[in-house]
Amino acid sequence: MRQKTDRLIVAFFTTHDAMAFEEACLSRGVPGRLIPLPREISAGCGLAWSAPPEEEEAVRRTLTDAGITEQAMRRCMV
Amino acid sequence: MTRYYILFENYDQGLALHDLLDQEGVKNRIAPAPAVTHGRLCCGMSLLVEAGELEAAKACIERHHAVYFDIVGLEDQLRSRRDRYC
Amino acid sequence: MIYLDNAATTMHKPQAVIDAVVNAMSTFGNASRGAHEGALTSSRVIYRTRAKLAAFFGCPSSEQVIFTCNATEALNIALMGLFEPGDHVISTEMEHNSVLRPLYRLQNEHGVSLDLVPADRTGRIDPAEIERRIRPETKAIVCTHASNLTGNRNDLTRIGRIAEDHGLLFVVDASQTAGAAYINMEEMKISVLCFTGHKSLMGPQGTGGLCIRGDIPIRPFKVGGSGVQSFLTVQPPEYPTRLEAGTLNGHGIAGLSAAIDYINETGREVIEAKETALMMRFYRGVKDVPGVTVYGDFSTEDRSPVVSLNIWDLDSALVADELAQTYEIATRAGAHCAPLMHRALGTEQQGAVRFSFGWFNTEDETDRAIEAVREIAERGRPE
Repeated sequence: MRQKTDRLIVAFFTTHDAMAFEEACLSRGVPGRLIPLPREISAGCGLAWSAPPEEEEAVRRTLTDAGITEQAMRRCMV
Repeated sequence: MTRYYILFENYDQGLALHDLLDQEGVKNRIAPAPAVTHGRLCCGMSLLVEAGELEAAKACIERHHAVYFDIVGLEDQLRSRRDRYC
Repeated sequence: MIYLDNAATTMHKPQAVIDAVVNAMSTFGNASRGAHEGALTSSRVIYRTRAKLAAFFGCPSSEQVIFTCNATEALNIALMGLFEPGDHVISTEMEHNSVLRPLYRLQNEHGVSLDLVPADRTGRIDPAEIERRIRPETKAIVCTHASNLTGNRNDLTRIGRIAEDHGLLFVVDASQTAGAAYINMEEMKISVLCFTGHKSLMGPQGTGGLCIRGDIPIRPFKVGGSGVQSFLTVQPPEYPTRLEAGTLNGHGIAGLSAAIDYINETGREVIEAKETALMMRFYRGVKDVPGVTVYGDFSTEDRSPVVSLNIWDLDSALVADELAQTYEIATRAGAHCAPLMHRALGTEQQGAVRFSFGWFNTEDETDRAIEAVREIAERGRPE
């Protein structure tokens, strides 16, 4: 099993939001990727965005620009 | 010349009988079901059988208890294509 | 074979559509059912296709583009999910059975009352007759953009305005026009647009959908696996999941995505202009042939590329059969799932032979079809 690392996890209400966020991050060059929603977080959609913790500001900005409301955002060992 | 159309309620019935007739060597082909025959069925397919094959078709249907709706005879309404080289 | 049955389905698809489907069949997992690359590949294409369709039809939110297996399913979802007992719905005699049958079912089984605006002998309806039928319980106007039998188009802008003025929902069946004619839900005040992927959009069979404009809750038609919120005992309420239980036709949607790209790159207006030109060429070639009766309103070229006709009093099925057998021309005869339209035209007994033109048809094919009609008319001339 690979080592768990500390990541910033964004959870979404819907798959549509998750896909929209991935596209927004890709087009802005914001690092991260979609992962299965960690068990510790409860959300509508089973996909979550996992980003380096230092990218929190960029992540929040991207959410606002893309008009997406996240269901949850927190640090997790994944 | 009278031609005979075997009518069905759906394509599945029609295709099933088409297979049976083909297997038994009864000449038939799929044709649009004539509009005038049954208003309810005029959208579907039919099996067109020439007069000479009608008895064989009926025997095949009976032998296999094939499902169909009706058999109707209609006159061919078109004259043959004129000789284009005359 | 000369394929002139595009109103039933476009048999010739752009190569990119075929390639997209084949490619998806070896790369797609199940969308919304995982976070691995296979699932995500499918999810991304589906997500982007929603966005493409939203832009194409002027639907303000892509998450309210719902995929179905065809327009019939979309219409059933919309119609069965919008109305309550006591509601009144206005529709028309131009409709296909995929509109009529759900409406009849609502009337017979769910206490909804129905008014159908009559069509004239040319197959047209008068929008003023829709407005005349509005009453306090009226909830919606439901109508087709174009008749699959006559090709006549309805003025959606005008009907949409009537709907908006009276606070009504406006549900449109765009089966014959999506992909070819200009449609903008915002401009035309369309509440729900139902479309199919396999006709003028030139996508695969098994694709279609409905676009919902604004805050319109539609009760789910089917409930089941949604890939998300698995511990909820009801279907998740958010769009699109609300109306999409079960696995989507990901392979088909990949093809539909490529089809929209093809139409956008070629130009929707370019495609429409060619199809209209072929239709008018055919119409002009057959309308004066002795024995030929053409149905529909040809006083305008703003119509779908369909020409339905009869020859003398020949059974339309026999004519279509002859066209296929002797001339290798594919058409559709019979009742076309439009019983009220046939009744309005007076063709219930005879049916009609429908020629419908598509992007891949040519002038040469059109001329050969004209010649075939002329010959059959000569051969079938009453003695």
